[in-house]
Amino acid sequence: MDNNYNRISKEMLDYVGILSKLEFEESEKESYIKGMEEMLDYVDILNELDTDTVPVDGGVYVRSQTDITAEKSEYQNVQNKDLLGNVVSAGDVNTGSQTDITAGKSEYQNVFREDTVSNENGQEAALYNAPVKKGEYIVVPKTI
Amino acid sequence: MKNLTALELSRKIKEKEISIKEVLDYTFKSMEDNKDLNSFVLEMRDEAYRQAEDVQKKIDANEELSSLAGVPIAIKDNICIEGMRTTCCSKMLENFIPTYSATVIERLRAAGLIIVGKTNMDEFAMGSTGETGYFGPCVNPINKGYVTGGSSGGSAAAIASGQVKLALGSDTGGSIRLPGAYCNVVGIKPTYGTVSRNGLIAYASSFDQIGPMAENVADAAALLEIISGHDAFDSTSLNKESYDFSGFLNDFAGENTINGNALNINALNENALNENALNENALNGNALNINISNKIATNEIKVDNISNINNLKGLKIGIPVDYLGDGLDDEIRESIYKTKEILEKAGAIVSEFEMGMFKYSVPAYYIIACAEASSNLERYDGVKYGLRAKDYSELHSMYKKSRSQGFGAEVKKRIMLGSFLLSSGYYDAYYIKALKTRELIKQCFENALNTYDCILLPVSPSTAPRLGESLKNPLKMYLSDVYNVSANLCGLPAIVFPAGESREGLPIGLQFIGRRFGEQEILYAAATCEAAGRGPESKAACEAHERGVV
Repeated sequence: MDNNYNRISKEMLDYVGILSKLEFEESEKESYIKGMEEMLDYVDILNELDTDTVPVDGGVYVRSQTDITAEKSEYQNVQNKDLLGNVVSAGDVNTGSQTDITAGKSEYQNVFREDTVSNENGQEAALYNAPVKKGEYIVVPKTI
Repeated sequence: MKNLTALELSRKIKEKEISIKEVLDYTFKSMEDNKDLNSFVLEMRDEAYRQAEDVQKKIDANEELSSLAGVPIAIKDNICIEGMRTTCCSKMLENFIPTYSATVIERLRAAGLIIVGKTNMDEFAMGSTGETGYFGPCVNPINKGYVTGGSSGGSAAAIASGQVKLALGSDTGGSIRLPGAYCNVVGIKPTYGTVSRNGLIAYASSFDQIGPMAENVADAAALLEIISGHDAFDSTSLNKESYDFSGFLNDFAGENTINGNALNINALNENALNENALNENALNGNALNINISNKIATNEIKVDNISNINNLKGLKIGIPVDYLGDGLDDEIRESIYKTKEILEKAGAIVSEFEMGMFKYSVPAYYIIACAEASSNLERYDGVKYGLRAKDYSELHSMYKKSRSQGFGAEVKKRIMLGSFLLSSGYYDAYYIKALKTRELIKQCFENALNTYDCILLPVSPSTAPRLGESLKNPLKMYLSDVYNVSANLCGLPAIVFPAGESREGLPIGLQFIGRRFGEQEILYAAATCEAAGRGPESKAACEAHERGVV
């Protein structure tokens, strides 16, 4: 592909290194840049799709006809939120009666539980795999 | 023991025809004999014999146990077992000893299965060939020059070579199904939320599901039943009333239709085993009369059912023809159409249709998977657990050096790509775009599954590639999951089953994708194809069996 859109500069690679907390040998950089550019060029195919009116998906369920019949009543109190917390397709959800299959709205339900302590003191377990420790503490480099 | 299914083996153990210790002796000998396959990265000999003693005591006391009690099982190395090194086949976790066990492990133990070891895999489950792991590539037992597929390569190979009859894998974008197809093994990627992910080391959390792998459909269904269920430790696990995945297979042999040979039908039918090696066979005219009378005598089948020899009668199966275009090996396409014939003979209504969105599934999958991976793998910082680099100057240098030394190339690449895709300025163009694409793909599957009970697809565009070839062309490797990622994007259940072999003698696997919680339909359809003698009867599978000890 001969666009310039997905060229990753060395500066960009360094920036990605900061974001992902990785560092590279000078000799590795070219191959990582090439690998990333190749993938970005490939996923650009998604730009063929017009998604302006598509709701942002945040989950993995496809509703089947049976589910719709069986679960219709459950929709009443379910609020659909996208990843940013915006309510999506609330209209359909709240009425519960006019579920539109073709619109592909997804249903999610928050799962809450009481915030009660159910485990015992897990200090020993928590420290067990720490690579460097001293007594009851994990040792890290000086941070301030 | 060699020709027994896991269900039969458990029955023999319970009937005290064979002790669990004898079974384990056999298993560890077989693991020893198959070392060259590199299927296992940890043997759990002492632990297994200890566990065997406990389970044997229960059996001797005639305690009620599961349908797979006493049967050895192998566990993919991204599933935590307390006190047992769990590495994800990464240098990062080379010395990691979990302090708790995954929920699926607790369930297996409660059901009396014996865990014999941890299986090799692609590092952090990132790979489609079984070659990216820190402990070296998995080797395909059917032809040792070829890859197992990944990432659950060790689990698939351990079964295909007869080292074990059961294993757990995990499937984020085809990681159970691809090795299943390359190694002639049955594997199920359950509906998202069916199996608890607690204790599964995360790759892409909205896709990850643990699933069973086995020699045949009935064993896989029985294992799925054991590991499924709600778990308070995984809030995405659902609380369903029934997790009955194998009960319906009990009437399978009675209802069975196509060219059933006794071995396969027995495999499908735990209860009807003795009375019913029946073959009420549409294809086999000679046996038809005898079998029908047998059936009346033994099963008191209603007259209606005798005229209805089609166990899949009325099941609607769709084949998305737009998924079978360029890039798919002719032999695999042929196998789809052969399977279509079998399904039709069994009474299913098979139609071809256009699904849409084919070429967008892998790009959407990789964006979301890399994004989630970059976030999930941030926890490896050299502080709490995992590798800490030796030489570093300050905190950030410790993070960077530990991560750079601990992760392999493929993992680093996906973390980098994910960090980039989520970064300010690119988030909307890539990540949000991919989520919207996922929604469109879901709509396609939803529409299709409103019409069809399940969808028949290939598992990969070609049979297993040779070892060492794939990593040079990553894009091609990613495309080997082009048929698989949709089920993960949509959270749908899928089953891979053996469907013959190529002229080269390499296995071909196909898959059914079902509705959300439509495991029963896809199991039934796969069991039918299996009973048609296409799967375990293939030459390659038989040879692998001969090679193996079991």
